[in-house]
This record gives sequence, structure tokens and C-alpha cells, in this order.
Amino acid sequence: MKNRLFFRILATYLVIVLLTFGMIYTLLSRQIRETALERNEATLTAHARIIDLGTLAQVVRQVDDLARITGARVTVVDSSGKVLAESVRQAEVREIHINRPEIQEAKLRGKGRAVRYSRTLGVDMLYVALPIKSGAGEPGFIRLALPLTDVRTSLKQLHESLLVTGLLALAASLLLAAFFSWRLASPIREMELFTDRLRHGELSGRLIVRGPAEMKLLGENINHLVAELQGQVAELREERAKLIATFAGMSEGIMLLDTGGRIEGYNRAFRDMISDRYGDVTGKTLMEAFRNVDLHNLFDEFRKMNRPLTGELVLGKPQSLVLDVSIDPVQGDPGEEKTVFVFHDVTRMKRLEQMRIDFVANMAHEIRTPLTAILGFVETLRSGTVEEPEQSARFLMIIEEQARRLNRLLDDLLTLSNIELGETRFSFEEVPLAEALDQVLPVLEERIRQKRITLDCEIPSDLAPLRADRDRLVQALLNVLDNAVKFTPEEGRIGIAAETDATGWAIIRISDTGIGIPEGEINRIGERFYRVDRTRSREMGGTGLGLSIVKHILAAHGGFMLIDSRLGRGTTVSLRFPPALQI
Amino acid sequence: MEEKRHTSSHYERELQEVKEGLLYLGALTEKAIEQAMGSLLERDSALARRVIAEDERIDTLDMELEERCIKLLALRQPAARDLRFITTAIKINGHLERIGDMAVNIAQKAIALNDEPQLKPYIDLPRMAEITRGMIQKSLDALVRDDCALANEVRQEENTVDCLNDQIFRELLTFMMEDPRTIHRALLIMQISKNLERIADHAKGVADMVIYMVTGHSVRHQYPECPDRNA
Repeated sequence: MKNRLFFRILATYLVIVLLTFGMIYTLLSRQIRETALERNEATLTAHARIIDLGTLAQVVRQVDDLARITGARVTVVDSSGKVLAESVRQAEVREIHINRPEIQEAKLRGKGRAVRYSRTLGVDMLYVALPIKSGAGEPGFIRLALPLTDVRTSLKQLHESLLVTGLLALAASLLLAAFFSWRLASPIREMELFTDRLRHGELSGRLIVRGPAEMKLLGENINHLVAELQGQVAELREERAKLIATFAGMSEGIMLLDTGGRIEGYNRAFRDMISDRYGDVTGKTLMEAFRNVDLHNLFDEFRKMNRPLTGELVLGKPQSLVLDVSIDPVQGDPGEEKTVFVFHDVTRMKRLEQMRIDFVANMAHEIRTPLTAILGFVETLRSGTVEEPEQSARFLMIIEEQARRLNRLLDDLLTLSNIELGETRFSFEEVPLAEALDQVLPVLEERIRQKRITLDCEIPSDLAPLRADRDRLVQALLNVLDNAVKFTPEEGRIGIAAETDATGWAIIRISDTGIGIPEGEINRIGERFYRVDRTRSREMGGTGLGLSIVKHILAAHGGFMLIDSRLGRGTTVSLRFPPALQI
Repeated sequence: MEEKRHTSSHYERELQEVKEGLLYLGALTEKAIEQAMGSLLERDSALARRVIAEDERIDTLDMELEERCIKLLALRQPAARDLRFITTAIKINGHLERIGDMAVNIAQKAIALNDEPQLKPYIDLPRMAEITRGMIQKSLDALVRDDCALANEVRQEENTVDCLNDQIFRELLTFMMEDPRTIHRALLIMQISKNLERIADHAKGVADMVIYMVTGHSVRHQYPECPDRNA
């Protein structure tokens, strides 16, 4: 940059110097030549006139002397051009001189002059010719010639002096160019450094310009711009921080897609939704990141319609999320539009919705089954069977059994809703686990013996008593053990174990070698009426509310229920009670 | 130079499109298997019929992709890695299309099974389906990330699926010997298991091709050891 400026200034100066010197040279050299010619011509004319004073014969005779005295070549020709006398005797000069321009001129104007290059002497010659006036009166011309050697010397001197001054001027212009280019470039350079810093985001500095007034003005303008820019950047930064905080804090997942269809970024909520299964998806396309048919199709449709779109999709396996997604364009320059995806996790809502639907359906079903049986047998009795005492006794027994079942169902439902509504009063006391079990086991004893189930009961003798509502604890244990007996095949094994863990929680583990629960359904076990296999467990006489009641009883105690199960191998239900408060 | 860059970026986009298409096909097949197995486990024949209907899309996409690859080969004459990618894509495409067909097979068997009472609770079959689905998922993930380690994992898992298939076979054999009325259903379940096993084979095929694409070495027909395969 600086060099280029320097060379430009230098070139300008050089052109000026060269033009000036060229002009000076042409003018001076012409002048020198002119003056030399005039001076020589005057001398030669004077000499010629002096020579003309003598007679022709005298002149012819003394031509050599004359030549020596005047220092010029002397030629005398007659009117026909024949050479009468010649101071330089050479063969070629014998030729006729009448056509020489100086002689012709002398003939016409009384005096002739010409400059010709003499090949013999290798120098320009000045010829002056005059007609002979005095003397014998015989017409003729005297011509004097002088080599112009002094013109050449003068020119040579001129060359030398011009060369010296030219070199001086060159040196001067070099210095001047360097000085001016530096003077011009240094503020520019400073501005350049400053703007470069700006480009790298350093907005804090200010530009101080030393130099011409124009530069100072420019510098001030730059400073002004920087100040404005600084303000805007700060504003943008604040906006950005606000936006980031907003997006980060949102519970909806947000994902931004760039023009090329690659994921540019996403917020924390979305990362929490997807990172377990998909990892970091930044920079990937939708297909590369999620490989989800529904999402792909939605985005395709969005691109075709080119307007906001909403849909629902399932992301992630095996723990899948049901997401409501809306796709919106982000305003940008034409051809630079980005896309924003907003994901709303509706998994829980969907599950609750499903639970409600299931509950109503189950409820109706559970009540209808015994009612159908009761109605059926009542009808049969009315249509005549009453008269057959044996049959009618059996039918009445069935009716009673079904009515009891209905009653049990309603009891369970009431228990459950009372616990849930908080209307059941819990009276907490210290209950040794062994005592509670003593109340439970006799109820199941008969069925355990029938199925030839081995019961391992390992309660440490030093186990601290549980702080619980005795009746509710008994009910919870009964429900869990009842299930264990129900779902364990003949000659199976049921284990009861208990311990207090390091944090003081009491854990009761009831394990069986039953049919187990599929992994995906463990979470739903505590739901009301939820049954892994509907037909089977209903055959076994359950209401579908047992574990649901257990779950709620434990919750009322501040504890919780955990289920661990392997399909076909068995199930372990752990009941966890929190440590009793130290009073 | 400028011209060359322009064409090469266009070319790159074409390659990316092939990749995207392949992944879309993969997503469709993943979904097909999932739904086919779902139709069996939930006894939902309507879902099974949807799987059968959607196979048409898989077939169309398969042909489209193949044509696109052949066009790329003919017009661009790719070399080295790109050539490997395109040839690999053609093969993976074939594997995925076959997987789609097998999902249809499973769906058809599921429809037949759903018309009869359930023979037994499915225990190993869902596990097998889950492993198989995971294999396809992992092999496609490996394709996205050029991840040889993941592809190798898929190759290992194929054994587990084989072993499960054998186990299911033996179990069903006992059912059939006990009660000839179960033979029809047991055979249908067996075919489903066989289809899953073949899907796992194809998933391994995809993984093999990913390894070839990344390293340039072919690992097909090299089987990892399976200790209990013949047990």
C-alpha cells in the first residue's frame, strides 16, 4: 500500500523532471547552435569582404595564406562555377561549384550561406559565399568554409551540465516522493490498523489522526461511526442474551434449521429430550439426526406449503416421547430462510389421557361382568329353575359370589379414592413387621399349601419396627403377597426379606418365581385396573386395583413401591418406608 | 478452477441426496418392523395391514435410489471413496428393501395369528425384535457417522439373534409335540422368528457395507465366533 503510493508520486515527479529537462535541452541546444552559426557567419563574411579587397590574381595566388590567416577553407570560383583557387587541394573539389546552394544564394541575394555535413572532415561545415565585386572585375564568387567544431563543444558542455542537474533533480524527487508518500500514507496506515482492530471486534479504541485536515475529518467520521457501532453491538448483545436466556429457560424444545437443512442449534429443553438417544445433532440433517419418517414427512409438507405447520410425532426408542411439533419459517433474505421447530412434550398428557380412557372402560367392564352373571342366573331362576331346589341353590351361590365380587370391587375403589382424597385417617404407630406378617400369612396359608409353594421368610430379628398404620400396612402386604401367590405357578417359590439400608429406609422385598411382567409395562402396574394380561388375571379373581392401593398406601406413608421383574422368571416388589422421624 | 468447484459442490449435493434417501429408506423399514411386531404383540391386524400397504413406498424409494446411484456412476464417474460410497449405497439399498419385504411377511403372519387365540405369551420374540430393530438402527447410525466400531457391534449382535431364533424353535417344538392343535400357530410364529433372523442378517449386511465404505476392506463372510451357537 505504502509502496504503491510512493511509486505513484515518484512517477509523477519523474515525468515532470523529464519533460522540463527535455524542453530545456531542445531550447538551449537550438539557441547555442543559432548563436554559433551567426557568430561564425559574421566572421566569415567579414573575412570574405577583406579578401574581396584584393584582385582575383592576388587572391588566387595567396589563397593558402588567406586560408591560414582566416582559419577557413577558401575557394574562389568563377561565374560558371569553375574553381579558380582552392585552399584544400583535393581531386574531388575540382568539380563545378555553381550548383551549391550557398553560391546560388549569393548569386541571387549577394550573400549565401549553407550548413552541410562534410564527409571528408566528418563534421558540419558552415559555408559562406560572396560575389566578387572589386578587383579585375571578372565575375566570380569567394566562398569560405569553417567546420562547426565549437558548436559541438558547446553542446557537449550543455549535455554535461544538464546531466548533473538532472541527476540532482532525480534525487530530489526521490526524496520528495518518499516524504510525501510517507506523510500521506501514515494516517491512512493508522486508520487501516484501527479498522482492522474493529474488524476483529475491538470496539473500545478511538482513532487519533495526525496529518492534513481532510484526514482529520475522515478520522473524526470514523470515530463517530465506531461509537454508533459500539452502541448497536451492545444493544444487540443484550437482545441476544435475553433471547438465549428465554430459549434456554423454555420448557418447549426449540431447534433451528439452517438454509441447507442442517441443524444449526437447539435449546436446553430439546437437548434434554433427545440427547439420550440421538446425542449431539448439531450440523446434521434431520434425516441424519433423527431418521424419523413422521418428522421428515412433516418437514417435506412444510417446505411444499411454505407456511407454519403443526403435527405430532414419536421420537426416540425404546423410551419414546410423544411430541407436538410446530414448524415455522424464520424471516430472512430471499433464499436464506431458516426454519424453527418447536417441540412440546405431550408424553405425560397422552398417558394420562390413555389412563382415563382405560379407567372408564375397565370400570364398566369390571362391573358388567358380575352383573351379567347375576342377571343371567336370576332370569334362569325366574323361568322355572326355582322349582328345582338343587339347581337353584347352586345358582344362588353363584349370584352371591358375584355380588360379593361387586362389593369387593366397590370396597377397593372406595379405599383407593379415600386414600387419594386424603379422607382416610392414618394412625401411625410402631409396627414390627413380623406382627403384620402374622396377620397376613394365615389368610394365604391354604392357597400356598394347595399350590405347593415354598415360602421363605427372612426377617432379621433386630429389624426396627416400621412407623405405619397397622391396618393399612397389613392391607398392602396382603395385596402384594396375594398377587405373588396368584401369579406363581405350582411348586414355585415366594421370598419375603426385609432390611434397613444405610440411610434408615426400611425395605421389604417380596419376590416370586411367577410369570413376570414385561419391561415396558412395569411403569403402568400401579395404574388402576391396569392388567398385563387381561383375561388371565381376571380369571384369578383380581379387581385390578390391588397394587394401585399398595402404591397409594405407601405414598401416604411417605414411601414408595418399586417393581423389578423379568418376564418368565419372576417379580420382586420392594416396599420402601422412610426412616421414622427422630423426635 | 471456479467452474470445477461449482460442479463438485453440485456433485456433493447429489451424494448427500443419496445418503438422505438411504436414511429415509432406513427409517421407513425401521418403522415397518416396529409396526409389524406391534401388530403381533398388540394383536392389532389393522396396523399389520397398514405395514403391508406402506411397503409400496419402500419399493418405489428403492427403485428411485438405485436409479439415482446408477446415474451418478454413469455421469460423474466417481473415484476412490465416492465410488465406494455409491456402490455401497446400492447394496445397502438392496438390504433395506429386503428388510421391508420381511416386515410385510411378519405383518401377514401377524394377521393370521391374530385370528386365533394367543398360543403363549411372547417372551423371546419381542426381545429378538428389539435386538433386530436396534441392529438396523445402529447400522444406519454407523452409516451416518462413518462409525466402524458401531458397525462391528452390529456384527456381534447377529449371533444373539441367531441363538434366540434357535431357542424359539426348540420351545415351539415342545408345544407342537404336546398338542398338535398348536402346530399351525407355532409354525407361523416360527416363520416370524425366521424372518427376524433374516432381517438381522440384512442389518449385518448393512454394517458390513459401512465397514467397507469407511475402510475399503471387505468383512463379508467373516463371522465372529459364537460360543453357544451349536450348543
